[in-house]
Order: sequence, then structure tokens, then C-alpha cells
Amino acid sequence: MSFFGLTDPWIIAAYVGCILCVVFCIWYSLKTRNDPEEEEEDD
Amino acid sequence: MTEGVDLTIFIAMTAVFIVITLLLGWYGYKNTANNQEFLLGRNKTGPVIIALSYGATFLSASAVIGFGGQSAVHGMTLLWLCFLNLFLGLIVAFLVFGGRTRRIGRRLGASTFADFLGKVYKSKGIRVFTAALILVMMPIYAAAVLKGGVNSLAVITGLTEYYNYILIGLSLIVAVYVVYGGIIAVMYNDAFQAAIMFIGMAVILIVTYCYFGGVTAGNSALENLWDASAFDLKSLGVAEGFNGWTSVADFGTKEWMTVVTTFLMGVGIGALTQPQLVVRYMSAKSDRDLNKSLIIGSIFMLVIVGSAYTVGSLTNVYFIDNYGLTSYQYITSIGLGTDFIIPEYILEIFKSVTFGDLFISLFLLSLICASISTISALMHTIGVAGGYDLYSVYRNRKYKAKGDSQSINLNRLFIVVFMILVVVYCYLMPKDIIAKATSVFMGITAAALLPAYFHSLYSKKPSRVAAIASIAVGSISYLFCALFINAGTCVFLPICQAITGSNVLFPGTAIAALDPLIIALPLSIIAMIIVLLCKRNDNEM
Repeated sequence: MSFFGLTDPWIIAAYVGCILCVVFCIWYSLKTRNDPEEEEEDD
Repeated sequence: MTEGVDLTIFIAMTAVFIVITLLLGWYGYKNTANNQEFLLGRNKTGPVIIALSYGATFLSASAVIGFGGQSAVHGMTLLWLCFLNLFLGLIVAFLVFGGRTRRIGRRLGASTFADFLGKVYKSKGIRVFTAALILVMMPIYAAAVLKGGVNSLAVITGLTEYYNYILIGLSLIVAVYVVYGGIIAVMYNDAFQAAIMFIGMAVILIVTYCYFGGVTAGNSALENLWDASAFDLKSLGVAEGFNGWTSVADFGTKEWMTVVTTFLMGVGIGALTQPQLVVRYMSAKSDRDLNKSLIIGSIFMLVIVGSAYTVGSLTNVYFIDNYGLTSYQYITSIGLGTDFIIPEYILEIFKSVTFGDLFISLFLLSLICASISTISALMHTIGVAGGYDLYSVYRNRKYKAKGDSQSINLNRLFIVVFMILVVVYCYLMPKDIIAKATSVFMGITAAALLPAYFHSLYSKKPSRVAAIASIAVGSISYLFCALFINAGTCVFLPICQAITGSNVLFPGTAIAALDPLIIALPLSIIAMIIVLLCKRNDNEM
């Protein structure tokens, strides 16, 4: 299997992992953008 | 060595940059009315500034040229560090640590990381230890970052004879805006510098892949370069187990140990307990703003770090095509260290590109931005560790006073004194030190403070005894491993050499390549768990 000329699965996984992290960050930010701003209490 | 950059363009760009930097410093000065604002700003920093400031502080010249150079030597395995930066350094940092730190810190009135731990655990000792750790270790890291930036700048511009002036000039610019503008100037300048870094690194990645005929063509060329029988591993700067620049090293070998435990785990985990980054959470207006900053922060990190490590590895194709030598072989053949691989490559490749001088100047400016955005945050953290944390404890003890110091000028004095110390360190440090010094600083803070920091956020009744045990075991075991076990870090203070005659206790073995954090952090966690269990048993009896 070749991923843009790369064949080592560990290296491919590193690139895919980076992209997934960015996708997660975008998803999470959009999901919580309308959350209320009140202060939560932490014990 | 290739000729330097077109100085007219570079000086013009730098002049504009300095003016904007000082203006933002002035903006910070005008908006800093008291010590609280000097430490944390006005507690209403928006998501864009937080994201860019966090990213620019996190990713110094160390990430671009230090670890970029290491990726030229060790290959694309370093992309796992990019993943860890994103996953641990951003997602876990913001979602697991950030929100709680902001809320608890605000409730307790904490203004620094040391202050936070001290107030959560109601322990002056923990506050003093954390501040002292910052004062002792952080200047070394700051010096490594400064030295890396200045070295590259001097070499690329061809102004090596002006090294001293560049070093002192950069230090002065940082000192002026940090001293006067406090955290507001630091964070706004970070954001401005982050924007320049982003453009610079994106251009470098695009030009590199265009030069090699596209992404697939570039990666394939690098993949086809490796022929185990054609290279002597020692001449490549790698250890046994190396499988080429597009493959991960064999598990458990010296090469694997070095790359995975030192570069990946050491730096990746260490990012969670960086005092200068914790302050970014505490200055946010709300948790929602912290969450919002994830979008810009993640894209920024991916572009900066991903570009540096990808381009770093691909430099091998360029140097072999043009000189018949790998990046490491080429750079050592001209008497330079791995920190110069990326700068040298950029200098060469942009000479053949339209507007090449403009792009080289942009890269240089990115490098300056990467260096001073980190140094400014470090100097601010160092200054307040001395002028706020240590002095508050000292004053309260001596004069039986209560509360924290409100002296901005004392913070400023500490910043100036330690800036001078950092400059002195720059002259004492060996070359190729950036990545190692970064790893050591991040490693010791993680080993000493990560379990205590986590416990402070997630325990209903944080145990001071458990925190102290964890901090003590983490610090001592890290120092022992750094000085007696790891061959890379023992050079900082060759005690083992003096005692045993050998640089480390197990020379030549894979253990000598094991990062101290891999031993020290589990021990620190175990110490905390044991104490917590003992306390629980005591309570039950």
C-alpha cells in the first residue's frame, strides 16, 4: 500500500493521526461553540 | 556554505517587524495597570490570541530547526512528535488540563503555575520548589532557543562576524517588550509572530514539494534513497536499527530508543507541564474560548511542525542529488551541526526560485519570531517566578505578611537579570544543543510536576504529602537517570565520568539511549499512588 509515496504503515499512521487530531479539534470547537459561559464549580 | 541572503530585503522586513513588535509592547504597557495584569493580563483574552500565543510559545526555533534538523537525520518518524504535539500538547492539554486549571486558578486567585500548585496544596514548599525549578532550568532552555535562532540567523545572513550584536540585539528587543508590556505584550506579540511563522513554514513546504515534482514524487524519492548496504550508519549520525528516512527504526534498538523515548515521549509528554503554557489557560476569558482556540491552534501546529519534520526529512533528497551526501553528511562536511540543516537547505533551494530572496527573508523572520515568541514567554515566566512567587513567600515569612507581592518592578528586575544570564549561557553552551536542552527541560518538569498537577485538578482533597513525595521522587530519579544513565544528557554535568571513569553506567547499551523521563515519570506516579493508598488506609483505621 502506498500513501502519497510512503509505504511504512507507522509513518502513514503518523500523518493520518495528525489529520484526525485537527479534524477532532474543529469538530469539538464547533460542537461547544454555543455552550453557556457560566463558571462551573470544581471541587 | 552558500552565500548569505539579500540584506536589503531582510533588513527592511526586520525593521518593520521590530517597529510592530515594540508598538505591541507599548500597547501592553498602556494596558497593564497593576501586577495582576502584568502576570495574567485582563482575564479576557480571546480564542485567536490564546491559540496563536499558545502555539508560538510552544513551538520555538527548537521545533523548526532543532527537531527539523533531527528529522533530517532520523527521518519521518519525527512525524509522531507532530501527532503528540497535537494530541497531548493541544487536545489533552486544553480538554483535560486547560479548563480546570483556568477555573480552579481563578477561584483560588492564582496567577502563575507555581502559585497555582502552592495554593491548591496549601504548600509554600511546593510553590518555592516549582519557582526554583523554573529559575534553574528554564534559563538553560531559553538559552538553547536563543542560541539556535541567533546561530541560524548569523549563518544564513552571512553575518557571522556580527554574532554578538545579533545575540544582544534580539535579547534587548525581547527584554524591552517583556519588561514593559508584561503578559499582554507577550501574548499579542506571540500572535503576530505566529502569523509570520505560519506563512513562512507553509511557503517552505509548498516550495519543497514543487521542487521535487509533487507530494508523491518527493516522498517516493526519499523512500527510494535508502539502501542499507550503501550507507555506513555512523556517517549518517544514526544508530543501529535505522531503516531509512521513511521507516520507523527496529523496535528496542538504540536508534528506536533515542527517537521514541527522547524526542517523542520526552518532548510530547513534557509539553503538558510547561509553566509558560499553563498561564495561557489561566488568562482565558472562559472555557468556551479555550475550546474555540483549538481550531486555530491545531491548524497552526500541524502546519508549523508538520512542515518542519516533512521538509527536514526531504532535505536528504536535495543534498544527495546535489552533493552526493545525506543532509547529515553534508552539514558536518562544512563544519556545522544538525541545527543548520534546515537553514542551509532553505538558503540553497530558494536561490533557484523567483522572489527567492524575499522567501529567505521571510523564513529568517519566521525563525526570529519562533525564537523570540518562546523566549519572551520564558522570560516572563522566569521573572514572575522570582519577583512574584519566591519574593511573596520570602516577604510573608520575613515580615509575617499575608497575600502575594504586587511589585511589577521586582518582576521586571528578575527578567532583566535572567536575560543577562541567558545571554551568558549562550556563550557557554555547546553546538547541537537545542533539541537536547528542550528535551531535558520538558522532561524534568514532567517527571517532577505532572502527577502533582493532575492530582491537583482531579482530586476532591488534593494530598500535599502525596504531591511532595511525587515531586521529590520524580526530580531525584530524573536527575539520577540524566546524569548516570542517559548518554545524551550526561554531557551537561559529567559527574558519572568523574566518579566511575565512564560517561554513563551502562555505556554502549540501548539503556544508555533511554530518556530519563521514561523511568522518572512512572516512579513519580508510583510514589504518589503509594502515599495516597497509605493515607487512605490510615484514614480507614
